[in-house]
Amino acid sequence: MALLNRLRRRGSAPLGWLLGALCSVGFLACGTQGSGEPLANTWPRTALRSFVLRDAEQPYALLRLGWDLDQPAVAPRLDDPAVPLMVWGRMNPRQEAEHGVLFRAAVTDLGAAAPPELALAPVAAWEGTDLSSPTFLPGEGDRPPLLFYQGGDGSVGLARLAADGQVQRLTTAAPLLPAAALGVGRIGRLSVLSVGSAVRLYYLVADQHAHFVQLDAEALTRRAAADSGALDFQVSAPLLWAADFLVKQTAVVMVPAERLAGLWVRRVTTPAGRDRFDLYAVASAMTKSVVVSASSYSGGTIGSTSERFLPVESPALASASEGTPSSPAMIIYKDQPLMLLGLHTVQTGIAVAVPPS
Amino acid sequence: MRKTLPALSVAALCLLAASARASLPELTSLGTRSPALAGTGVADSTGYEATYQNPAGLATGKRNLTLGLVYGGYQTTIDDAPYPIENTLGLIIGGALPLPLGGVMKDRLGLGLGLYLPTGFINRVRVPFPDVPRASLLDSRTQIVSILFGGGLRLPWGLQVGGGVLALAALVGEINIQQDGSGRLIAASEQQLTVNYSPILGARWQTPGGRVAVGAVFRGVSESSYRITVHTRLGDALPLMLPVIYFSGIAQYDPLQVAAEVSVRASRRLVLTAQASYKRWSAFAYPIDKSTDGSLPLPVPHFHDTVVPRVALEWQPADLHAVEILLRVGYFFEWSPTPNPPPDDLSRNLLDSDRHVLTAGIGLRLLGRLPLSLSAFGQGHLLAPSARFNGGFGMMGVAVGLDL
Amino acid sequence: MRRRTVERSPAPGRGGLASPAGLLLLGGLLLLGDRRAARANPLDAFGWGARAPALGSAYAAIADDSAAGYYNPAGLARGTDLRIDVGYQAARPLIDVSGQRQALKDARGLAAGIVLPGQILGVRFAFGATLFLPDQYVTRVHVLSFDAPRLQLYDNRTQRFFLGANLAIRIYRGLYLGGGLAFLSRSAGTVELRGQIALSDPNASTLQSAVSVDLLAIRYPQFGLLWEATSNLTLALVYRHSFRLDLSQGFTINADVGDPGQTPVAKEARLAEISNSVDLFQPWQLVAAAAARFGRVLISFDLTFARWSEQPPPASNFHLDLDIGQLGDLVKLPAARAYPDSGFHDLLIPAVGVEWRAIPSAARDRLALDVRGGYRYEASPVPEQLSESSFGDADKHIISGGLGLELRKLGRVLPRPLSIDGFAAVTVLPERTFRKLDPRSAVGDFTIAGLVWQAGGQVRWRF
Repeated sequence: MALLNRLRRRGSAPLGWLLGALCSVGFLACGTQGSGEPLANTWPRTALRSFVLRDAEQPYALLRLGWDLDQPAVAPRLDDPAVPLMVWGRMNPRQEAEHGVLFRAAVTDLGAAAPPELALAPVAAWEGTDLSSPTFLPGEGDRPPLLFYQGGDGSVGLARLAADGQVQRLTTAAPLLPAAALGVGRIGRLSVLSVGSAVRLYYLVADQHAHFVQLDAEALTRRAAADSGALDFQVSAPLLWAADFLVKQTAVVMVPAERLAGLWVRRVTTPAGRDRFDLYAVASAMTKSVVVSASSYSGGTIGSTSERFLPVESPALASASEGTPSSPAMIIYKDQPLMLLGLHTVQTGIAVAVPPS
Repeated sequence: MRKTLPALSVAALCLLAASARASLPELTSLGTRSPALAGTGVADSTGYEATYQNPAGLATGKRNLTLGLVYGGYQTTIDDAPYPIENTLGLIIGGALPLPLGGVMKDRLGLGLGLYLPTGFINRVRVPFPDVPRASLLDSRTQIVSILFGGGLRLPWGLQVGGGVLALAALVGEINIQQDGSGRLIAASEQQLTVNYSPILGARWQTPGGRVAVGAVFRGVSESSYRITVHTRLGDALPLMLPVIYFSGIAQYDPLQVAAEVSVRASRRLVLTAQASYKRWSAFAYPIDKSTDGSLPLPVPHFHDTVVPRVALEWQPADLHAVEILLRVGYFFEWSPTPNPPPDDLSRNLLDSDRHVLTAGIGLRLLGRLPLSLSAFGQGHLLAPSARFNGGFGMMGVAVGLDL
Repeated sequence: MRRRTVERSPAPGRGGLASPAGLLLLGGLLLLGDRRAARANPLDAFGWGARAPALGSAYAAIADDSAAGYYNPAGLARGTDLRIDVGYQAARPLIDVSGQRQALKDARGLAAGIVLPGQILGVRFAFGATLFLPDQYVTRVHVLSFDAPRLQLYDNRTQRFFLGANLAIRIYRGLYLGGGLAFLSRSAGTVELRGQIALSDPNASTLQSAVSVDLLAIRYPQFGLLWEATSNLTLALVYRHSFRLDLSQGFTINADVGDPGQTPVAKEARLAEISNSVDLFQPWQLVAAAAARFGRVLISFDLTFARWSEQPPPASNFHLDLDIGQLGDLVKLPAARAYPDSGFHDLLIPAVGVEWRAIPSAARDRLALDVRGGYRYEASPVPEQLSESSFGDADKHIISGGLGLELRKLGRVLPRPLSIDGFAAVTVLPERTFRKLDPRSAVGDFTIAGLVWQAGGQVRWRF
């Protein structure tokens, strides 16, 4: 302030001129020069359409010679980049589709995975000769992380997942949920979600319609603590039908899907703070198969009728190159959605698809 | 020295001030006095016309605002058939502002603004297919906005300098024809209008009595280019895929020029002027680029450099009380840069001819309370007889100025 | 030949006005007023100069420099000095969508202007030119599909230049009228292509082109009235006309379709496309303003009505005409659908500015200092985005401050004062949530929040 008052009385013409001239020249020295480069589009999108194989030439992240790998799922883990992603799935020897076991593989980089190793083989009587459809419920409160899986007839089994990755069966004597209670017809792949105080298992029946079975979360926690009490459950009405999707046969011909398979559902909290349920599956008609998606804000309801999932017109996977897709699973990897899926060319392996750039 | 330093910094400011020159000025000159004097003025123009002729002339003169109109009509033939060229019609707006500084900077620094505005549009690009003959240096030549802004500084010993930069717009971008999320066909685009700069520098010197003035000006290459890339992604909607299409070329081009001029006041009422200007047309490229990656390469025009001589005289017939009258005549020869004989390839369709240009004009200035001035010019451009491109055209203009 | 056409749904002094000079000037004003001026969008968002943005852009009643060419042309005639303003201003948007920072261009560039006063036969007038020239380009046009998400008021609305020329006259002592002209340009035209389109490898296509494109001038009006009701109270009224950039671009291909060296599958096929789109819309505005001086404090207030409800759907309309012979049976173009109305709201935008002469200037003083502050509130005109469109926006609170230094007695070269002004401002966009009715939306629910930082400086030379 003293300086200003001094300047006020005595002034400083050279300083004034210098300031004025420097500012004027400085301002004028800026020019209009541009390259016409567009800006990158970073607006977040929903992960419901147009994924593309990460590498169309070599799409597989997991392969095992002589075996078919399918039905990928990712075990719960700490969000620590140093800890590898543990990818589970079903594998069976080539030509022995009915003898499936569960595998796991540690993946530190999508292009470099450890070979798949046996994680769980059928031993219980109800499991038969085939295990499939691993799906994980993350731990919450007293409940540890849980693994759901299916036996040969589609019945649902339960196991506890330890921190070291070891699996402890909780349904040795009988399945958690018998197939007959879930629906009439072949019970398809499972996908488990926690929804408030309930736990839902989504699945397909007879390759035609989707349902979920709902369990009480506390009851499940007690069951996981080896309490062998009965578990009440409720089955929803159909949420979605195969014919809701269209499958492209030629450039101009689209037909309703004849079959649905490989269902996967995830729950997302939108930026508005509400839930949205995204469903992925493979829709087939004649010889064509395409990965499709659908969505719902409620995820379906228990009752004689249920709020249905709304099918998305565009495929979830833009192109499977020369292969046949199966069993998509959507995960978040390094803050980005990532699709793992089975892909059959000469053999079946686990492929990776990424959002469109 | 303390007072000189700020003045020089202000001068630098003016030298950095934008000055632009484009095609009507290159064809006929800007304003009404200079076109009446065969496009001369490098040695003696003042006011807004100096923004094109020689920015050094902005250092002196009066504060002035001018509004004018220019019109041009064409009668040309190619291969003995009428070849229509769109008439020229545009507004001229000009302003001159000597800065009223004091002390050592009194009457030393000035700014000027000149605009040529074709009615209704800023730039017009008309480039036919390569096998179509066209008047390559006349077609749409005056269909571009000219924005001129310059500054001049009067130094001691009769010397004046001025300068600026020339700015012309360039268009670059991309258009994507595709389907949106709901299946509609749309054209999404990202286009940016950017600016190319080139320098213009001028100097002049006048003898102490003002009897002789010499001037020189350098004008850099100015061009207005465009490059739009069109991607068509209609997927299965069409049974064929369109290639990436490039709309790319040079909309307007003025070559590098250097001009030198001498102006002599032969008597109290008579001024004679002579100028020679060099134009580097050899750097002229074919105005349009390949449309697709697979298209054939386009020809090289093989233009050559030219020299344009100009002579003019300005005469005040009498001393009158209420009005000053100035009569102007001039002549210049515009040598065509097209090669002779014409080449064998498609560039033979870039036609042009030498031009003989006669100019005339009148200037009136009221000497009373109302400081108005009125001036008009006419130019007759006669194409020298040639095998393919013949005819001529005329330009005329009128302007009203007000000293503020 | 099979042909398909598809329409897709873009002092007091002596003289006064009664004198011949006054009529001449009024005629000039009307002439210029017919060639119109517009308030440019980056200036709508960020203001012009350094004094006005510091005062929250509540400037219509106090403008007397080249900023009047934007805020109120009538103010140009208030002063008698020749004024040249040279400045630079920059705005950096830091806006997040659902927590993800968006790539947005800065709005920065040269702000320069000139006011040339004069008097003819006793009537005082002034001519002013005002320029904002962005750094990176003159104008950026960005046309997206209707369903493409964007930050509607920051995506590219602020990316154009402004060049205005205005004329103002003093009608009577204390009463001023001004009108203005500004240029913008739009492109319209077609390109014709001919040759061969290769079927197997499109890149092997050989096409020649002929271009016919115009860059057209756009002009639009702005008028202002300013009344110095008392020595301490000024009132003003300004009208700014609406503007929209209409683009019309297309191409026509006349070509044989087939691989090089083989018989064409379709001879002399024709494909003609023309796209019409709208960009850089700005609504018409009416501003009522007042400014009052209380000793060393000046308070100004602007209230602006902006007619955003006229915003057209910001997308292109597409027309495709095809004649590709036997291949026409394989054409499967989607059915036409119109764009829904954008549904924008009209706005009332209040702004207030305060200027305090912290260091007053007596006759012998060589320096004066003004301290400035301002606030403006601009609600978002964008409605809920429940369905197809995703135009993101939020309310805006603009808080600003600045300093103005006036240097006097700078020697004989520059007898008039030199002013140096600086300002800084921040626009706060509180979080706004947008929900979608359809869970299948490609964009989904999203939130908008962020800040826009601004700063600038300007030097005013008086002669």
